[in-house]
Amino acid sequence: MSNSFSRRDFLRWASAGAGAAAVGGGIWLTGRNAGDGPTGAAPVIREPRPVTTDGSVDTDPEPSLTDGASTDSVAELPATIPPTADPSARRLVVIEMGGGNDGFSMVVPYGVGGYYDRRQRTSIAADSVQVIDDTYGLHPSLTRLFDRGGFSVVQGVGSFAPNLSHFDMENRWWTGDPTRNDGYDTGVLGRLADLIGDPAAAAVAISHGQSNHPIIRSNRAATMALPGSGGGYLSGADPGDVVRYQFQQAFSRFASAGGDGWLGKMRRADGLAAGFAAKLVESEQAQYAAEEAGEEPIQYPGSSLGEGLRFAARLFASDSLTRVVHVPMHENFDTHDNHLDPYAQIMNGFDEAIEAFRLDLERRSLADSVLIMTTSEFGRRINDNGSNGLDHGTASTALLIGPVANGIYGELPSFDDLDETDNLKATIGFDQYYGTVFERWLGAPTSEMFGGSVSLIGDLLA
Amino acid sequence: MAEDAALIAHLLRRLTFGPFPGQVDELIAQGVPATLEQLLAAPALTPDEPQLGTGDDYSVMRNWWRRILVSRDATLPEKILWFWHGHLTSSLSKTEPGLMLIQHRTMRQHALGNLREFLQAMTIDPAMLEWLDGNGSTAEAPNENYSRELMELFALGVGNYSEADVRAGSIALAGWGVNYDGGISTYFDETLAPSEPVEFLGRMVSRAAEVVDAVCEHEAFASWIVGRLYEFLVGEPPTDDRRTELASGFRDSGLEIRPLVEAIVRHPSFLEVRMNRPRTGIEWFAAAQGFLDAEFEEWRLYELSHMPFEPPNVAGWPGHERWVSAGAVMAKAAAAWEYSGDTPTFGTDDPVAEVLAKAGLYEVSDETRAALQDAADSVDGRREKSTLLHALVPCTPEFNLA
Repeated sequence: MSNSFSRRDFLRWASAGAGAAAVGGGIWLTGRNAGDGPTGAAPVIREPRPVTTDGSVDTDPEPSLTDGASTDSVAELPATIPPTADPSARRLVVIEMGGGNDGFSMVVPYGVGGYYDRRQRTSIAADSVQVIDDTYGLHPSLTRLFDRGGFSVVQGVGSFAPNLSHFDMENRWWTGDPTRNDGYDTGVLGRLADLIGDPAAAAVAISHGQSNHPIIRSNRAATMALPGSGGGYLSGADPGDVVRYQFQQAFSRFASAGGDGWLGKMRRADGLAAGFAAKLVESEQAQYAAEEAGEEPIQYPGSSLGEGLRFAARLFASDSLTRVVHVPMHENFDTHDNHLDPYAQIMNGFDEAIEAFRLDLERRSLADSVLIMTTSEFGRRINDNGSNGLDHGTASTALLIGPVANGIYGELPSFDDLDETDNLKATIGFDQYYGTVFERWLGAPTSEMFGGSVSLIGDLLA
Repeated sequence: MAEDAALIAHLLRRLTFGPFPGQVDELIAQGVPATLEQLLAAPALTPDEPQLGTGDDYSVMRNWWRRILVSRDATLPEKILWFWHGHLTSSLSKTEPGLMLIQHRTMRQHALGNLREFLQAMTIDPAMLEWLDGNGSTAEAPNENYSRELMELFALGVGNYSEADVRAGSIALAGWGVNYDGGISTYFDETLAPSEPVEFLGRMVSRAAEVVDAVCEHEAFASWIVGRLYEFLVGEPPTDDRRTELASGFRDSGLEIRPLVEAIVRHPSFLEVRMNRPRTGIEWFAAAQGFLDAEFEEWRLYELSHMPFEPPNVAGWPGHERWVSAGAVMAKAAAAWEYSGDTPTFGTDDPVAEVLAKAGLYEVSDETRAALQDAADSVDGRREKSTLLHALVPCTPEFNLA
């Protein structure tokens, strides 16, 4: 890829809200039909809500393939650490697997009848998976994750009225509306930041990318794209580095002048920027100091994921007001052909980055306060295609990693009851997935985010 | 009254993407009124079109217009074109470069012309048909998107139409589509249009052109457009009296855009609204790279979230508050610092006054001036002084206002 944006980059970075975004305070304008999810009080559900592709409730469901949460059968995985009890100390990292992640390669349903029939050339061999229980195993490349434990698998996450377009579904995930791509003119993490953010924060939510990602667009809270520059421009110059030092001195005087009107607002933004830059520099300097003192630096892979997670760990260690970091992966999950080998490479890189991050968090005493959640606009088709690949799908599997119970949550979609595009029917709306994490992990009242209550997922994070 | 230099700088900030170094000095001899007339008389550009099909067309389109917008050549017609791009929006995110180029030609043709003709053309513009889902919409199963946004955002404002009007408008707009065979064109398929008229905004209509006419003749139309254009140029909404007066003149002119722009800009109050809003992303980008005699990378404009052909949604770019953020401050500081190393040294013994004039800043707070003066005094070398002041000026609160 040259330095000009490719089409995919474009879709990723271009502003969302194509089409008719609701405006003028219209973030609650989204129509939510009755089949889109229960409203009112949020009952905790263990069983999936059987649904048809049009979102209506199926009153005569087929028997389900698994029993939902099956935490009892994963006793061999290491015990996981308990989360910090203080919700205000908790942080969230959202890893976006853009392109459409095949959940059945990440968490392989090796014990489910039909998997090997439908995946003639793209299945993961049963004897190679890392056995979670007698139904599921982790991808063979996820060795460090398996050894460390602390992961909850959520099955069947998607939309009850799916679309197979990257653009459409990405925008739905970014804005947080499973039914349409233009239901909100804010991003789902932006609205989360509105709910949980400290007004003094320079950035409640940060997207690790070069532009203001649609997912962090907020109504009130400060959110930002990671400044590609880091904090060194506005903070931390050595007095001996005279010009840079004087630049920062003068800038801090702009920031501290106060006042009313636009001049005052601009100076306050300058102050927030200088403060945030200082946090970034502090985090870098703490790292250097530790390494000077003989601490072996944590080796992150050089991928965008590795860079994003390294940034998140350092920031969380020095800035208690940034609560959410969004890290888009720049890997090709869109495996229309030749799925297996590239996917194994992606998983290996993912595993390596996650392991580095968790070691880093452990060293910083943050392991009990940072949760990772994965997202992807959709999964891939259950039947493989003629090119040893997998076409666009619907529901997929998501992972929570961190101080969480090992186990399988939600409900595997039926492999036999497919929709009209031969795709799986989601068993959990992604607003439920978001809602469960936001509410149970961060204490955010999700009824204020999704235009009504969403049912939380079983005892996930409970 | 402020000195002439400050007023001229203000006119350049509002009616172009400058001021650029030396511009105020060139204009000051002729005075403020003559400068205003000169800026109003600036001819529209007729730039060579971008060559599509030779590489990444999305990038080609963005870079092509960005380079025009941020140059000294971009005068009032280009600024008004930029207004319409953010008002009658479409984006590459749901269209494609060939479509946006066709729309861009249409916008260049009408930006200072007749708004009714402009809106008629935009309603059946291929990019707009794709962006707001008119493409393939039929009277039997009409898509309401364009009908709704036409009234809500483009022409009337909430409260001036009903849901029944949205529905009726969508039926009467039906039948248009985009043809991609052998180039891009629009088509009208009468069999997909309504066979009976529908009641829309109090009159009977059955075709897209009649929908546009009904909107243009609605009593709220002139007032809505006046409000949007006034806020763009003046930085704040008009008073009720002023809005009524301007709307009346706009209607009487037969919805001619240029006289409306001139009426807004020629009013004495226009000279008084200096620095009453933030500089937008692209305004800062243009003025800062001009000040530093640099060409910033495209990604820096992404950091400022103001990319040509990519408005964030159908409502265009958000209001003033969104141009003030810590993230943007950090991005701007990085750009200013990185491009200040090679700036020319100063020719006078008052480097602060010299650098502020170069930036078109004649009304600067005591705090900012003192901070710049102390910075200038803190370094000895001519080279260091130049680097330091050139890095600082684009970061001053004043440079970030318009």
